[in-house]
Amino acid sequence: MQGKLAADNIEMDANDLDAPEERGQDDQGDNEQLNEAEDHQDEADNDQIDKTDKAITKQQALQQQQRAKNELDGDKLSEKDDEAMQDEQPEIDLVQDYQEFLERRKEVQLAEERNEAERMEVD
Amino acid sequence: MARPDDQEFDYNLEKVQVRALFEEWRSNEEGAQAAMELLSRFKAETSESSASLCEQLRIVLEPQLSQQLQGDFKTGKRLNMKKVISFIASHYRNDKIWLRRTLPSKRDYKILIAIDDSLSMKEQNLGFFSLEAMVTLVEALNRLEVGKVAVARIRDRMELLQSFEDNYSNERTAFIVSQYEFQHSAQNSHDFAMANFMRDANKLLDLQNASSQLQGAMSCPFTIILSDGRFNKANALKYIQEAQEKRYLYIFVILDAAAKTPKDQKAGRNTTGSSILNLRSAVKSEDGTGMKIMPYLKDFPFAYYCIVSDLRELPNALAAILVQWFAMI
Repeated sequence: MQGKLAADNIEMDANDLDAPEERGQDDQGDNEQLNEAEDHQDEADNDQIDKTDKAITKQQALQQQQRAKNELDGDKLSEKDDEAMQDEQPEIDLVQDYQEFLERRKEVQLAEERNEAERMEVD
Repeated sequence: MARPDDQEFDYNLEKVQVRALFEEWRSNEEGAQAAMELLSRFKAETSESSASLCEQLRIVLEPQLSQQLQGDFKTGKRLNMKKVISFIASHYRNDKIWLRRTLPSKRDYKILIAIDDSLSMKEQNLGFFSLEAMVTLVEALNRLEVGKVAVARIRDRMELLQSFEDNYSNERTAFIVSQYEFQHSAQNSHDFAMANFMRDANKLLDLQNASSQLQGAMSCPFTIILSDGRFNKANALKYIQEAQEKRYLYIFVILDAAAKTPKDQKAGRNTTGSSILNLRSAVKSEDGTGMKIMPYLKDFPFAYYCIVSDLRELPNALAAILVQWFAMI
């Protein structure tokens, strides 16, 4: 087991001890890889941002929609409230009013007749 | 529906507006139902008065149009087939075989009924009373087949609710009943409402007169106004004089149910002060130096008016005025 580890170390060391030119090539390769990785990362980040933006936009749209709905519901509710208020207001029942008017008139006529009779008695 | 006061009365426009209003009213089933119920109550309450009025008017308003074919004439409109046999049998000597329209049997009057729809009517407790009077009139005139009847309300001017071309029906009468609110009150309505109404009514009667003359019929349009009688007399005088010159009859029915309540009666309080008979107005004295107080009705501008405090008085009062009027013309 120790022997294998030692061999790995040797291999690693051997890689580290590359010639400068080769190292430059390797560096370039590494840079390209890095750039690619960065590009990927950027793309991923951008995608993420886009997704987040979209999500935010969607959320905002939903919120706006919800707000509009609430307002509409509110209006409806206020309309309902108004209607309820109107319902609560006493409706003018003309038939009932007329009935009362007739009763009142009858009472007046009776009272007049009574007064007349009393006056006759006094005379 | 309301038009500016100074706009000329347009009968055709009024008719269109009334029809639209009627259709709108019919679409509201609940309101229409309530109005029909109210009308049936009015009819039940006024049936006696309307029957009495109908019989009184049957005597006063004579038929004008001849419809039935009668008589034995040498010339005429139609052959009397029963006479044709005797005509032939008599060797063509009994030649009075023709029928003519001689006796008038149909009435063709044009009557405008107008009710004051102002707030003062409500204040005088005359709303239901005036509607009862209107239903009495409409029912009696319809039963008599008097001709054509138009109904209007008086607000800032005349507003038609039924034109002369509209036929009588229960539904239409209920619509008319539902159109009065007795709440109209404008800044100048006391001063100008009656004057504006008279101007519009004169115009309407002019139109009816002209159309009757074109048809060669005898025209006798007249107007019945139901009101509490409280208006600016000086402003209306000009149009009343115009109507007199044109020989248009305006019958002004002053509704005067003195506002008495049972409580007042029990307390023995005299509430007849609100009666128009006790109303006084201030006028300039003849020498122009001061003012004097005189009864409101002393210079009432309508020549034919009656004061009605009970619906049962209406038939006699109207008949008496009409007898006077027809005796004069």
